[in-house]
Amino acid sequence: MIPMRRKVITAIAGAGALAASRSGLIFADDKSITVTSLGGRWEQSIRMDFAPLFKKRTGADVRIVLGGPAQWTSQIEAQPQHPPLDAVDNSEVLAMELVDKGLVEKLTVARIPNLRDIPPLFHETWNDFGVSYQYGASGIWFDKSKVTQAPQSWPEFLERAGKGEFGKRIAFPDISYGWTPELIWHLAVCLGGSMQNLDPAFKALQKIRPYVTKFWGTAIEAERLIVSRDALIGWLWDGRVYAMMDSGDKTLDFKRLKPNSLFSLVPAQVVKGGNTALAMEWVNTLLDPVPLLKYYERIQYTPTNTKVVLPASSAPRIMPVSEGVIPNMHELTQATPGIVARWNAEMRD
Amino acid sequence: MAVTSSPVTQGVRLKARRTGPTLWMASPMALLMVAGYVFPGGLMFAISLGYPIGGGAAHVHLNFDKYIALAHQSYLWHVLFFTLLVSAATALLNAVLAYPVGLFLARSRTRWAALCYLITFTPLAVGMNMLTIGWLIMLGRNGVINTVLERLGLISDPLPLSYGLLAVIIGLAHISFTFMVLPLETVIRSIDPALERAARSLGAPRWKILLSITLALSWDGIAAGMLIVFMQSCGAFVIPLLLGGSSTVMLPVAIWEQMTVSNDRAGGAALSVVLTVIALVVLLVQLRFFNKLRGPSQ
Repeated sequence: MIPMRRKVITAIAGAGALAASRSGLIFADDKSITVTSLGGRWEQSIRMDFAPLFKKRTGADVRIVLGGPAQWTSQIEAQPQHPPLDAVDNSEVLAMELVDKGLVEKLTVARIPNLRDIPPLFHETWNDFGVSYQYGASGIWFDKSKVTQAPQSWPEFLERAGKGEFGKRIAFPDISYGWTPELIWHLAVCLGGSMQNLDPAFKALQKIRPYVTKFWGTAIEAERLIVSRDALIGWLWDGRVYAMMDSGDKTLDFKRLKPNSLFSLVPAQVVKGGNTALAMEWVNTLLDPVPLLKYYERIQYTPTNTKVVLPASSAPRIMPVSEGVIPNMHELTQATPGIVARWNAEMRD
Repeated sequence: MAVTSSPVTQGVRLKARRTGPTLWMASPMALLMVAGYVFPGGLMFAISLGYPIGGGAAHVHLNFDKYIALAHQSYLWHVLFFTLLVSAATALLNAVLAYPVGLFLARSRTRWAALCYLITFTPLAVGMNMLTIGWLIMLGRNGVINTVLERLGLISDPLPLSYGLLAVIIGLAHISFTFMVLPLETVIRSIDPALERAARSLGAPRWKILLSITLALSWDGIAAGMLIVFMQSCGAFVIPLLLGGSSTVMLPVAIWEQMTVSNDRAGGAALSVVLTVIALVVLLVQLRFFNKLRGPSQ
C-alpha cells in the first residue's frame, strides 16, 4: 500500500515538474532578455537607467519579472533545463544556493569587462558566480529632535536601548526579515562573539526586547514606523533612510555605528541554460558607471564600481568599503536554521 | 438481443440527463480548481515529503521526516494553537458583532438597509492591504484613537493598541465581517416572520422572541459564518504580519519564515499541508453539520 501511495505521489510530483518545465510563462529568446527587479524605485531604475543602455548596445529588449529573490530562486530551481530568467538580482544567501546547485554561470572579466573595476569582495563572496553592483550599509535611524545624543557604536546602542533609554520606541527587524540572521551575526561579532558563538547578540537582544515597539518583517514596515513615529530609533539600511530624509523628513537622521556596518548586497547572477551571452552583457550594464550614477541618485545605495564619480556632497553618506563586513555565506546558510530556532525560543513567547 | 430497462435504470438515466448540463456548466470552474488548487496542492505535498523542486524523481526517497521534525518543535505547536485560538476568537467576536447587522438587513425595509449593505461590503471593496494600513493609522501611537483620547484628557500616555493581539483580532474581524453577515442575513431572512408575529400576539416579550425563535432558528447561519471566518483567519498573512508583534505569530507567517529565512522549502510545504488540512477539516464539518443554506427543502 505504501509503495503504491509513493508511486502516486511521485507521479503527481513528476507530472508537476514536467508541466512546470514546459509551461513557464516567459522564455528567453535571442532578441530579448528576462531579468528581475524589486518593485517601486528599483523597477524604475532598471527600466529607465539600465535597460535603455542595454538596448542601445545589444538591440535586445529587456523583460522584467517583478517579485523577490525567494520567488526567482524557486523558479530557476523548478525549471533548470528551461530557466524562465536569464539574469537574476538575488539575495546574498539565495545566491549562494544557486551557486552550490550549479545553476549559475561563472563571471569573468573576459565576458564582463566592467568586473575589473569592482572590488573583489563584491564578487568573491559568491566565488565569482555573482557580483553586487551596489551596496547598502547598516546603521541606525533616529528622530534627532528626541534622540539628541546618538549612540556611537553598536555596543553602546544595544546597552542604552536595553536600559530603556529610548523608551518602548525602538524598531528592530524580526526573524521574518531575510537579513536578520546576518544582522545577528554582525551584532555578535561587534560584541565579541562569532558565527559559532551568537550568545552576546541574543543576550543583548533579550535586553532590548521589552523596549521594541515592533519587530518588523519587511523594510516597508520599517519605513512606516519611521513615518508614523511609532518608533524613535531603529536599525535599517542607509539608502532607505537617506531617501526618506531627502523627501523632506527634517528630524530624521541616520548614523553608521562603530566598529563597522553590515553590507547589504544584491548579487547579480547569470542563469545557466538561459540566454547567456545577453545575460553577461546585462550584468556588464548593471556594473556600468553611467547608469550606476543615475541609480545612486535615484535609490541612494552606493555603486560598487570604483569608476563611478559620485557628487562631492554625497561623500559623508558614502561608507568606505573597508568599513563594511559580510559573513561567510556558507557558514551563514548552515547557521540560519539554528538562529531561527533560537529566535523563536528566546525572542518570542 | 433486446435489452429492456428496469424502472430503476430509467430513473438513473433521467437523473443523469438532468445533471449532465449542470455538470458541464460547472466544469470550467472545476478545471480551474484542479489547476489552481488540487495540482499545486499535490505538488506542495510531494515537496513536503522530500520531492526536489527541480525534479529528479527517479532517485527520490519520499518520507515524513519533515512532519516528524515539525512535530518535535514546541514553538510550532504554540504557533498552531495560537492560530486556532485567535481564529476562534475572531469568529466569535464577528458573530456577536454581525448578528444585529444580519438581523437588521433581513428584517428592515427602510432606506438605511442599503447603506448598511454598503458598509457591510466595504472590507471587500477596500481590500486587505488598505484595510490593514487603515488600522495601523487608527491604532498607532500617534493614531486617531490615541490622539482623540489624549485630547479628551482620558489618557496621558498613548495606549499600546497596535502590534499585538488586540490589533490582530480587530483586523481579522474587520476583513472577514462580510462573510459573517451574509450567511446570517440569508438564514434570518428564511425564518418566517409569521412565527415572530404569532409569538408577539401571544404576549411574548421582544427579547424572548429574539432568543427562543429568531436566534434559535439561525444557528445554522451563525455556525456557517463562524466557520468561514475561522478558515479565513487561519490563513491570514498580511494582518498578523503588519498589525501583530513578535508574540502573535500565526501559521502563515511561520510558513513564510520557513520558506524565505530558514530556506527550508520542505518544512514550509509541510506546514502549508497542515494549514490546508485544518481548512479541509473545518470545511467537512460545515458540509456535514451546517449545510442547510442550500434551501428550506434540504
